[in-house]
Amino acid sequence: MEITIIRKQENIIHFLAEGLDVAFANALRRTMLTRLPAMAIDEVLVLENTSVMYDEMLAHRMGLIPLVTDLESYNLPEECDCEGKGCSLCQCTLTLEKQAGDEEEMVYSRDLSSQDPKIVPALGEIPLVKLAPKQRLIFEAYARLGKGVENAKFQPVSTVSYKYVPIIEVNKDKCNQCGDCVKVCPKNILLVEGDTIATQNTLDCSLCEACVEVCEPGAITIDSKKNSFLFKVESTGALTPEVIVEKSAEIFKERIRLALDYANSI
Amino acid sequence: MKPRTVENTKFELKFEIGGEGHSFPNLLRRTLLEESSVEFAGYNIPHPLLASPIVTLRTKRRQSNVVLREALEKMLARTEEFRKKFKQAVSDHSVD
Repeated sequence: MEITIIRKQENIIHFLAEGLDVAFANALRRTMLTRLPAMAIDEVLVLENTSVMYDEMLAHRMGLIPLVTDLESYNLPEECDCEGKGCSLCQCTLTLEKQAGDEEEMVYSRDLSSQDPKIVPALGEIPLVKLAPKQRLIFEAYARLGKGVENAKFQPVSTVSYKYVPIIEVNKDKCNQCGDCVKVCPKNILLVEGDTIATQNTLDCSLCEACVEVCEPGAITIDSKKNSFLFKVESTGALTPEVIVEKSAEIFKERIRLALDYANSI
Repeated sequence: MKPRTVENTKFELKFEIGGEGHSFPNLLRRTLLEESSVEFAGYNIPHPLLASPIVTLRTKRRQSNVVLREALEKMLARTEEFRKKFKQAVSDHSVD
């Protein structure tokens, strides 16, 4: 197994994993999506809402705000000592109080003030509701850890995908440098170079095969490498992408260990 | 992950894994099939809402529970390898 990081940004990581099975790649992807806990608002106590938006709509919008998650200091409610009733170890309170002045005003996710300085909205500029003059909003929201299997708002990732590693081959003898493939390629991978077609940034290829279709002489072949995958993990901001990948590997290991305990017991 | 035996004989093992989806049993099936003594390995999810796949394993020559144990150990080793290599790759990347 060989892993190379291709690109790393604040919220996105692209990496190449070679020498692994599709089943493994998929198990990992699914684990990142559904088994990795993240914080989200789960209960909202509305004290006052004179805005045009219904309480439940507002609560739903609040639930979808990604919160920066601290996996070390919070427990999953079902694993907490309080048995899921909600204590400071498994719950975080966020409050919002806002009244529009003489002009209409937008309420953003940054207006939420958290009891724990670490649990804050990952993005501050998410609009929640627009208040007309003098309208008021007061509420208390309770965030907790949850998993993606339960509700998609608990997913720490917005996209996690993998694709096969593309192999683009141009047959020099058949190519007549018409340049049709260059024009049709949505990822700008092909370019005319001298008497043939050259390739650049081949890892960006989406394997759409538009070039193969347009190529009259059939000079281009697109193939994919077996057992090599290009992963793209995009975080919602709840956790950093590196942590997401590492933690999900750990979670998956834990599940295998549980199965192993069972296998040893029979 | 709540495994429960449905059927257990020397060469055949059938067990239910409560609270799992496709990720785990699919990988288990693929890993089991790598072993030559496995005659049949598969899983079935009776109902998509129940989330309890039933894994069936049939072996020849070797005891089914031993084969299962080996496959799980292989999976564990691979996941650990992935985790380590990923961690290494991340720290290597931030250096340059």
